[in-house]
Amino acid sequence: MRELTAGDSWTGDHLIEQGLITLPQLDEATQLAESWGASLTDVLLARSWIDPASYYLSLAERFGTRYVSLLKEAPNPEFLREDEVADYSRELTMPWRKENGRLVIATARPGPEVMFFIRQRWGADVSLVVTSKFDILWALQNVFSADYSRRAVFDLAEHDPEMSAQTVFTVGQLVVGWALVTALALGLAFAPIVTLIAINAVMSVFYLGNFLFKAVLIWAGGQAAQQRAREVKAAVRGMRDEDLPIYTVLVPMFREPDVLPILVSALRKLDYPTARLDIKIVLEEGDTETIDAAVALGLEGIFEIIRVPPSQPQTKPKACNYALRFARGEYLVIYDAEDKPEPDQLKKVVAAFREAPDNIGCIQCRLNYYNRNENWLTRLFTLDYSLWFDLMLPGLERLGIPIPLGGTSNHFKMDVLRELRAWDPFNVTEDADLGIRMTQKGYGVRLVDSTTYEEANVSQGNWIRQRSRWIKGYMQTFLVHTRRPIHLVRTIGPLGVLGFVFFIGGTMLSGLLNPVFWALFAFWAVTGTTAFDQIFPPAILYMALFNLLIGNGVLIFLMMLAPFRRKWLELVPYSVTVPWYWALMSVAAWKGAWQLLTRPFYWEKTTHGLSKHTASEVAKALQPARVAAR
Amino acid sequence: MSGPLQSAARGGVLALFLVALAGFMALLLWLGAQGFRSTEALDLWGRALLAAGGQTPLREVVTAYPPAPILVMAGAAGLAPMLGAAAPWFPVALLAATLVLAWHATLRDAGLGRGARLLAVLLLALNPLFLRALAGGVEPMLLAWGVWMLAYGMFNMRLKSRVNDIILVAAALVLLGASGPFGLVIVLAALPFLALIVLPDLLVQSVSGSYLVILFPLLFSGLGFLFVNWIFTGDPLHFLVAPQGWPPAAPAGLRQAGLALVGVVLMSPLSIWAVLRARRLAGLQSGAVAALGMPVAVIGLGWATGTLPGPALAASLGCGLAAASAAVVASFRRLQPVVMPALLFTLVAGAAIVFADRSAATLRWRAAAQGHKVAAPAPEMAALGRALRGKHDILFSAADAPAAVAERGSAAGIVGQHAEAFQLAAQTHRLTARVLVVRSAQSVRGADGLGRAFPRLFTAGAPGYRLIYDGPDWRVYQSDLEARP
Repeated sequence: MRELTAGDSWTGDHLIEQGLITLPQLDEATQLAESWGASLTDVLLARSWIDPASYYLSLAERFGTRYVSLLKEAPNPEFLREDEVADYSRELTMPWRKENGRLVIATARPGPEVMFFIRQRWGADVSLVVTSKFDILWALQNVFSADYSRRAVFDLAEHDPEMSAQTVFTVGQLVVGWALVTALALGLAFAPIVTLIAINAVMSVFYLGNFLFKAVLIWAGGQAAQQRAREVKAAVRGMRDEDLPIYTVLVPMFREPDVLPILVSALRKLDYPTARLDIKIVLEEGDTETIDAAVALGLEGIFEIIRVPPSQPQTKPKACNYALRFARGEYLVIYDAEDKPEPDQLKKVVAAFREAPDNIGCIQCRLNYYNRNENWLTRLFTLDYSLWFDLMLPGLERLGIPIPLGGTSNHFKMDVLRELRAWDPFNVTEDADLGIRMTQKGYGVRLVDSTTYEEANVSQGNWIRQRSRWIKGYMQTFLVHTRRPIHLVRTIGPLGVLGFVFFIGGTMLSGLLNPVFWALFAFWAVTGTTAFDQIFPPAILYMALFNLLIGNGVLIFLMMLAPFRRKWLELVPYSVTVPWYWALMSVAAWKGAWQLLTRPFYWEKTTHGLSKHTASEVAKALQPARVAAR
Repeated sequence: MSGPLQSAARGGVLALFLVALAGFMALLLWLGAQGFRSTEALDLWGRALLAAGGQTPLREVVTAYPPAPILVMAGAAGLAPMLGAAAPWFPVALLAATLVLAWHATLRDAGLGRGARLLAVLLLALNPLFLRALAGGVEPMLLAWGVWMLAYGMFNMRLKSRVNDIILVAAALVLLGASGPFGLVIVLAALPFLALIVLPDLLVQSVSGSYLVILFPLLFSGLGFLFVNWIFTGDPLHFLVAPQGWPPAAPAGLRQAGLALVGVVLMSPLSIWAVLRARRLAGLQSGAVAALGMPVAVIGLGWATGTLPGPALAASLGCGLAAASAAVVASFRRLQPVVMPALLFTLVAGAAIVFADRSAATLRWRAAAQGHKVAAPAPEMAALGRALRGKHDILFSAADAPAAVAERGSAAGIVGQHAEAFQLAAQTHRLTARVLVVRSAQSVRGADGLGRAFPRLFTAGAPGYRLIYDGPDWRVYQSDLEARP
């Protein structure tokens, strides 16, 4: 708990004198400010106990200067430097204009600390005007939006084109693809049986490798040391708030006003001093419904709203790239709108970063669902996620295979993220791509035993939309990183390549191929036809049989193991219904493949807030605010 | 661990593996040179040679019970051209050496120092009961693997709650079930003890979930096996026709069962110690009760069902238990001092059981181990095999005497009952093969395939053929044309 600064104490007294707040409000705000580690003003604004306009007007009066609205009287861009934007944001102070030959500085927090900053940066010969926090933040966004917006889209493509998915297929890939298709066509024309046997053999070997690889991953993941989890826990216990770095939290949202209260509540519960949090809610400029909801919730007190100017592609990574320009933390994390991270997650990550080697650039936390028992789909989705995050990713980490990052709760070192030019806005699974890119650039990814709970999709249509985007993104990622096969082998090693091929390639390819083999099997089982005998010579037949029986058995068994770590064993029986889930996955895979050809950068939006749990979560989230308001 | 240290550790493990493999191979070859081979191993090798040589159709191989030993040995038979005379021993030695490696890995994970774990591994690997199982062939080695995995998983499921331990237990049940009738008995005996190894809060959460996750692989592989039988033979229960080794020729008597029981108990000093003394370590105690109770139940059930092998072979299950309990107990640093004396005790106990076992196979093994020449386990098969060496175009229902194929050393040149030429001869009643092998209808197992097609062949021979081997049950006729220089 942090004591109020002198400036805060003075502000409190001033507001009482002006009659803008009551004494009980001041007492409660002081308590909250101390426990959150936030400034008194931020708490009062967050609680909507003072009107921002009245507060800043009163502040201007107190300092004998005038209040200006930067949105109405825009700053002169000549005086603003792009490389100082993070400082302007942190100090809420920026050069405004020149009047009578003197530089005028606009600030939202006049006081001794800021005066010191102003003198250091611009000297003593300056004038001062008061403005609001959001005037400063939004004025900066207005001034730099065009440049930032362009760079959010093209930075990676311009500086590292080989790593960008802007080009879907390179000329080399098209030539190889064309050569394969031609060879296949010639084979089918002149030696159809041999060609079909060869295809069958390759597919059978792929299936065999795929499930063996998964089994090895689970085994390795299960063996992952619990030692680190204990060390991280111990380090968290020994942490002092004053030693914690500034942490940027990016929350990209698009038309999700309904789940905003859940997110706000979860972020407020974070066990991290609010003064050291740089929370940015990233909204598309035209998304007025979410912007209005954010304003209505009084978020501007401790959260900053970043409005992303409209441009194509309209994707989450582009929005994050844009917001990254305003980030001022040492570390950065991304959360989705409906996320509920465990409160000590940020501290655990800080501890993990401090204990990790220098080349660790990212820490991935586990993801899971809070509405797992809602219906069949949420149960299977929970099993799927548990398998992925609790068993497979630890296996990848242990075997030194590149980790495709999960959609949220990936925590970055800011300098590494900027060096890598952040996310690829043309890739619709920008996180998975970034994980592979990081490894190729010599950085590592670690996992930390902390979970972020999300809302599992409750509707199969919505799930297919979401999964089709993921699979399309995997296809993009696969295409990007296999452009230079030798470079890939050199940077991530043969085992890394094998893991990449099976983990990323295997996930999408099995989804595409499964329906073909299911159809063959069903046709054979129903009709007893001997038409396929020729393309299933004994060796392939027995391998296919092995894959069918042992492979599927192993995959179902692995699904059963998934909930073990969380002791959600009531989900185990549902694992036997996973074939239908695989069928849905195949639908999504084919949809993703089609979109890769027709709309490669289209962001298939997942609708959140459909769960019946969401209403109760929203009600729960709003409860403290109502109590506080009373 | 730094790079050079890691490389040194890997090098050490590889050296251990190679030494173990070479040691086990040398021992098996030496025993073989003394004339020792187990009947079951000989039979299995013969079937494997027939499968690898194509004389037995693959569908017969994949639908046969038990599937694991024949698949392992068929793989080795496929490599026979490279491995030569060592081929039948190689998979057995390989299984034993990798098991030793697994023991070593678990003892290392438990925190035992390098010298101590090498000594522990040596005590386990040189246990006479383990060496007896080694000589028994691939099936006892598969059982040794299965029992060790089961016991290690059982201990750790309560202690560590890792998915790896569930995988071990589940995979062990599959492996045991696929290893033979006695393996199935072990599976059945283990089932009640699963309740002791699942964490109570998991059972409270979901009983069905807890059991399903452990038993699913066993159930799925069982159903898969039925499915394979159904698609290849049209009958899902086809494998029940003639399960190998079921029932055994001479079921164990009460005295033998008692000796086996004493054997497994003596092989479990650490489990007994944990049951009696580890009251503060509930997880260890539960695991120990399960690991001790399970083999006792196995002996009882094995005796009741008539599947119990000889006392020494049955008691060799205790080796897996001893290795598992040693690794688990050693993981508690303050308990490490009890590990070595306990393993030394099991070595002595193992020797005592081997000397107390009066079964014919163990007596032969003991004599061979002491450097005495011993008779072949099936003298007629040995003689028949010798008679067929160097011959080709042999019409022989070899599946009825696989041990003779093993003694012959190869299935090449044999025209088995699945071959077109054999079926043609049976249908047309015309014999054109150079060599005919036939079993007497008066033998315990009755006529063989050829004997059924030619009922008088054994007694009267065939025109143009002369008798070149005349055994109690089998005769070999050779074409006069073939006999001419």
